Amino acid sequence: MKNKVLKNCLLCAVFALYAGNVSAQYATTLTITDMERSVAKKMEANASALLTELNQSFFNGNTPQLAKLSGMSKDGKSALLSMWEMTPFLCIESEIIERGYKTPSGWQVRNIPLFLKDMPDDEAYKEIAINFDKSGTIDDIYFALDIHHYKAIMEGEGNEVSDLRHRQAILNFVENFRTSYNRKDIDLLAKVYSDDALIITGKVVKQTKSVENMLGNYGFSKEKIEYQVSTKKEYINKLRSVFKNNAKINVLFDNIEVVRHPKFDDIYGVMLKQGWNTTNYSDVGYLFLMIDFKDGENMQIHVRTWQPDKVNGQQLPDDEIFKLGDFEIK
Amino acid sequence: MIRKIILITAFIVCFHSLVAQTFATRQLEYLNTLMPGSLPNSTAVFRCPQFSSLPLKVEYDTTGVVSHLGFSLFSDSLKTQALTKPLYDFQERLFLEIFLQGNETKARKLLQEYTVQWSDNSQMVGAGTFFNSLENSLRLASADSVEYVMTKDSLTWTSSWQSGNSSFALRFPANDDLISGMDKKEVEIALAQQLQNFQCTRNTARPVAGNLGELQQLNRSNYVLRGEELFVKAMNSNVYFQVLYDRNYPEESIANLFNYPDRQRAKGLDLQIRQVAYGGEALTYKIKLSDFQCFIGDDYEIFTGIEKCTDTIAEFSVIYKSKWYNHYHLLYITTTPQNLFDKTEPLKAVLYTFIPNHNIKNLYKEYRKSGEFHEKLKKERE
Repeated sequence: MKNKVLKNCLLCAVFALYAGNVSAQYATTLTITDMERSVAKKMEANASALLTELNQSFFNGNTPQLAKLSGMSKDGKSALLSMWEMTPFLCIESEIIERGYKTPSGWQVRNIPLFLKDMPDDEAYKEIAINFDKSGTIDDIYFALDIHHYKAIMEGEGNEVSDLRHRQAILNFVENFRTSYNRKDIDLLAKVYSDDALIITGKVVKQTKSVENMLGNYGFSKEKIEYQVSTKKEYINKLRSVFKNNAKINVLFDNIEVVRHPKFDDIYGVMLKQGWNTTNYSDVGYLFLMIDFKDGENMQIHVRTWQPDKVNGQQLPDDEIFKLGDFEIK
Repeated sequence: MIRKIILITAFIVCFHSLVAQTFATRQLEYLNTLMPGSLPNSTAVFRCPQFSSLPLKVEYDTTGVVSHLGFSLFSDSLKTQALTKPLYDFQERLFLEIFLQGNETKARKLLQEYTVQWSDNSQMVGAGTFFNSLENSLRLASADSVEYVMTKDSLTWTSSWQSGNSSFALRFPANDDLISGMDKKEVEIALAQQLQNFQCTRNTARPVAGNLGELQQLNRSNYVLRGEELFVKAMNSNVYFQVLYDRNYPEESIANLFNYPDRQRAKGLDLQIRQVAYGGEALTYKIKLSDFQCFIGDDYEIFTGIEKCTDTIAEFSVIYKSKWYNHYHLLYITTTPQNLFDKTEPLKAVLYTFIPNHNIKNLYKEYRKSGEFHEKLKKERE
């Protein structure tokens, strides 16, 4: 009996030691100097928790579980997951001491050393900077080099030019796409959408609520957007009818943004503001297109979304506007 | 009796042609549907009572197609330059289209769609006086004594007319489709036809932009005059000196061949062009490189970027950025480095034309993963 208790205690001790060693192996602690201590403490706790989680995920082979990190904003989580999608990484130091820098929106800590899994050996060691808001919450995280040029730069200048050519070809395609609406060219539009294209259209609906108070009932209206999903066939049929019922259509595109998928080089997202003008109707909204560049001369649209630019008199929040990262590609 | 004769004559002037016409562009065809009657059947300046007897102009090209329709505001002598004729034609056509809207709401909507601003005596035109102001402006513009000035900033043109104390101004974006009245399909076909029929009759030598005193030495015998960069460092208008065209320096030679056109250097080289056009159709034709460069002339800034250059393959892109309008042309060429000097085969080229760049917010937007809002939306859809 005495031996069994002793054995169990030893096992617990070994387990505790092992568990402790596992945590110690993955843990990174950040100490921040040269700034106000109360905020620095929160920043240290938030950044240390993040770096430890990254290390753990790296070794476990899973995506970082960011939901449990209360000290990180939505934007910060989004930025981190985008970087992770390019390549998993871990912090190679268990203890880091860096100074905090004041920024217009809060604080910044730099020179956090990382190891990048999918990069060649001589390019695998990079540094990141972490931005915090005024209360010490992690707001953004990025490589010391511009992210959108990172891979292109690593792969050489020639690919930078190829990428620019692809983006200009995308702009050419988008302009032709706009022209096809103005020409009511239904045959071409049926061709550029892939057969399994996902088409999502937002529609503003008014919700009228009735509230009772001592003066009687009164109602107020609040707008919300309902999203409808159509197949290519449904969308083209509806468009055919719109073309038939309108003598003139003038579609305008502005504020075009082009983003390339970090993993699938031939997939691009285009976000823009669309002005739709027909004889009896006009509207303005946000259009998103997922474009497959595979054949540079016959590109195809896999996803098309449209949302009104305003709801309840306010501009649609940025995080509600459809973008490339909102769609999974298999 | 005399009045009757005058009215009948006016009727004949406005409605005398019953011959069906063809139009160079869909825009002109559309304008014609708004006209109250038929057009003269040859190039003419004419008047109609429906237009308050303001002078109108119709032009036909050599094949008998209507190539221009609008109010007559500019003299033929002013329109002789190829660069500015489209701008003058556009303004004449625009005012006619505004006039033909018939009511102020539609006219203002049209101006808004086109992003055109029209101001009368330095003020935006007030409500209720729109068509009176329009008529007054058109009379001012078509008078002999008017002073006219047209200027350009990076994205817009501004025209202003003044006579005595009266003035008005028109401000419009330097967008191809608006000014030419042709959509992308029409303008691509027109360019392909022009290129196929083009023969250069002038010297293509263009002056080197920049101060040669700023030449930087690269190595023992090579120098570079660093030009402008476009979007990325590798796409630039650098010109390399000392090694102008040498098979031992293919990348520098490619840059010089395109950034610094020279008829002698380009002699013997042809472009086999596959022009990516509207609808996924490709227009294919061959043109001498020297003729292509002559066609481009001084109206574009040129940038060249090498994509790949090995012993067996040279791939590069050349971007032509319009100095006057908001568009680029892009030429993507594949060949072998040897062929640039041996000149045995045409250079295979893919040409993208009239790529608008004025409405770009961010060509290199960073990728961001889905946020909470869209994760929730996705779950609702499943």
